[in-house]
Amino acid sequence: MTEDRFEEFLRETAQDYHRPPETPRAEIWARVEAARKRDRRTDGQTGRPADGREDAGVLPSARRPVLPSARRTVRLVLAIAAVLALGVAIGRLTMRVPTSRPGPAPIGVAPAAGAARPNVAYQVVATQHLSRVEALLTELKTEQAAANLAPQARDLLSTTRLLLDSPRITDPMLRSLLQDVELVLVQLAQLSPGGRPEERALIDQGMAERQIRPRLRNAIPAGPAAQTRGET
Amino acid sequence: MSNPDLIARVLAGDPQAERELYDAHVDRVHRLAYRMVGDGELAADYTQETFIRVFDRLGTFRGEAALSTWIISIAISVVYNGQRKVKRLREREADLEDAAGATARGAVAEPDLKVRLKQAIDRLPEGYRTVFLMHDVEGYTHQEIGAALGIQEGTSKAQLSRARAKLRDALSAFAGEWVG
Repeated sequence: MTEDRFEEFLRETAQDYHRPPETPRAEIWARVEAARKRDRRTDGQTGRPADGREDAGVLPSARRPVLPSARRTVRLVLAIAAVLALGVAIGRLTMRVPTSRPGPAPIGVAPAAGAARPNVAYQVVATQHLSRVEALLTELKTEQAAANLAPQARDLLSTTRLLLDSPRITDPMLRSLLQDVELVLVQLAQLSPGGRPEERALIDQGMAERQIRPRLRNAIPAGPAAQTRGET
Repeated sequence: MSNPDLIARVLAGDPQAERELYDAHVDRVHRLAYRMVGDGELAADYTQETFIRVFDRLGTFRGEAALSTWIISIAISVVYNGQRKVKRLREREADLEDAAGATARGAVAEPDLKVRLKQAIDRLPEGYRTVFLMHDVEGYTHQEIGAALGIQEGTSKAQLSRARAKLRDALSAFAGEWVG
């Protein structure tokens, strides 16, 4: 009995909770129509409204403020891709600078005529490789990705071995970093899919002890200047 | 006009049919959105977004549930997603206010019954709150709620029962209002 009375009381009293006003039908309809018309126009080849204005003829609130449309997401992705491509292009241009303006003679290496170009090539490859390693180690932080890293690690492992075996490597810091990276990659290559968290914790611990991530971060932006340290 | 005819006309691009479909359902969508968010601007935004989606996806409607239930399920999804974003924004604003020491919290008077009830409903877990608002406030059946939320009728009943129990606890100081 009391339960029934409470339910009745609750139903009555709760009517005042967020009591809706009259629906602004016309206003909402105008916004729906305007947004749909704009979407149709934007679907055209130009990707922009036919009259060239973003919100021409549309009430300010007719934009879709709540959830971005798929088209907006695509635009955002394209913009990010463009910025990344620009970054890569700038990076590559920067890498070429030492070939036209060689720095001081590499330490411990007798500068030989025509040797600069192969040195730069080695540096480019080493820098790209270390960037890939850094990306892989970043992925290691996410549980889901960590389960699928072994094939990538094996791929990087072979490149690491090639770089270490190259006669062009004379920088002891780079050699030491590559050796430590090799060790981590061996561990990652053996990581079983869906591997236990303890395995990853051990790898993380090893990397922290050898400060691999900070060393990688230091080595990558120093790529072009590394030549001045004597990498050949 | 039956729903299948109306849907067919909308899919054929008949603007009159679009308006008919909108008029037939907009009040229900707006009422529920307003009940859930308590803000006119947001409720209008969510209603707008719901109908944009309804028209975009009407071709995928298979008639497994009533059209009204299908539309309400879209509305609930829109409100949930939108409110998550709003909540994140408000949390950031609250953090900034706290950091600036802007929130002066003085002595608060004992709230009356309606204020207490509002606070208690606001504090209900999202699922309980939606079921409570749909059933006890807006008069949806458990069957409709189950179809709109993608849950079993029994789950809807159980959630309503738990919501009421929580509200009863929160309002225990006002028991005289319904006892005796």
